[in-house]
Amino acid sequence: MATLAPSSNDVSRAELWVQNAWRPIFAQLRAEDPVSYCPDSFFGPYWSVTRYDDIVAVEADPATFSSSWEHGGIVIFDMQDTGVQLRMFIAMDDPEHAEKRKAIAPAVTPTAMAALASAIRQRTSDLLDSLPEGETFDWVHSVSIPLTTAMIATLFDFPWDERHKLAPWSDWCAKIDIGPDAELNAERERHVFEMAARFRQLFDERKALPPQGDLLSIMAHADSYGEMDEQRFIGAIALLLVGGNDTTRNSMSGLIERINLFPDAWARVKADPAALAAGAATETIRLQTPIAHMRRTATRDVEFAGKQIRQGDKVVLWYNSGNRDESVFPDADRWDPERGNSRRHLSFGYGIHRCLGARLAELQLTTLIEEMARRDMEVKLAGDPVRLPSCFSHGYEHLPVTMSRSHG
Amino acid sequence: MADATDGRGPWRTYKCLNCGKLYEEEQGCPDLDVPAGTRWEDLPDDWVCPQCGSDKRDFELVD
Repeated sequence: MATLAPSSNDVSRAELWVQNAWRPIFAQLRAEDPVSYCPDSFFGPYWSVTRYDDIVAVEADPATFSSSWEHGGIVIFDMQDTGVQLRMFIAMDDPEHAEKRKAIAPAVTPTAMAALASAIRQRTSDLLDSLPEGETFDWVHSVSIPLTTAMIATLFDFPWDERHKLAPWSDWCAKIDIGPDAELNAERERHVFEMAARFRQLFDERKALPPQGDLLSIMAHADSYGEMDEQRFIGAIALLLVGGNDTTRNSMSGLIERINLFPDAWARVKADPAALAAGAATETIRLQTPIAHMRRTATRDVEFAGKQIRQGDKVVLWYNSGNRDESVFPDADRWDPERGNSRRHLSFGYGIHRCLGARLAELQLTTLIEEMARRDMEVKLAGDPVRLPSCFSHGYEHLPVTMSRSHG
Repeated sequence: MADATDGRGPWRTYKCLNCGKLYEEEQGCPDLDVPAGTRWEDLPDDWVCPQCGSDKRDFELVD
């Protein structure tokens, strides 16, 4: 393995992600320089943390490694100087983070998920039965986006005939790779403010009604969401929208790449979905890592893994790399639905900011796998995937496929 | 490891592998109205981590 040149450790470069070429450089960083300083990039200087144990250690010390939007937030792009600062609870430190998170938690309990399960299965079944056989179609736009958009609309009790707006809004919220480009930031603001205005209208309506079980109603009646400034409101909506939309969408698409790369494993899943569908879902989430990174900011000078990190330094946790750390996941690139420790993946983060919607993501993906298995579905790639040019949202623009299923 | 008073061996501590939250039998879990002295095996199967919402299966014995 050749030694990395100092300038080649910038793993935020869009071309690495759009070309699916990021694996070797992360493998090299894990082996040679696991906590690596990049002095110059499109997003400015930053530290990369690439090993599993080091990522966990950073996440377990939120006092030293802040998530606060006041320092720039949770992504590699410093957002505090833009019109969309995303003051969401995942980009806050305790105590405000804990108060807002606690208010939302009842929406994603096992009981709440059980109440959603049959609707998710019905929707998934109907959609799979509607797919065309013998012709090429785009899995992203025909399956992943419709399923996740419907789920979000249900959770928010968002007007059903407007649900097509949710995916583009979510995409613009998550589009951090535009960096400081003034024109693109202005366009981003236009979309995000349009989203905020519609959700504010619905929020005010729910506030005037008795409490219901949907997320907007829960927020409208929670003390911790009572007096939100505009940026906090935008952040609260954006977090739930992106958290429930882009991430599961890209895992549903990543599933298709995995079953094409590992047809024997897919055959085993189809033969025994009761035993293997949940593991297949978890492995898909591990390998897809739909949110590739989270960022923290050092609140003090600290020596970490032998490196001197200064107060104010940007520290980027590469979950995609931790999820391929061979010391934790042997033969890490292999999609193995029977892997014993697959649930230890970092795709949902670790510690106090771990994804609240993890259970819902697993439920949706497991249901999709079970229903595909029930139909003995074969979904074959019919062209090269078109990937997002993003070091944050790790996913797909398009995934051309053909499909066959049993008619028994 | 502290001595227990329920005659069922020393108090134990379990750790959530997804977020690091500890469940200490001696303390219980006041956030979820679990009284002090509640043994791990006496927690219901659908009990979840008070910090991240993970299942009981995501915890491991640490002490």
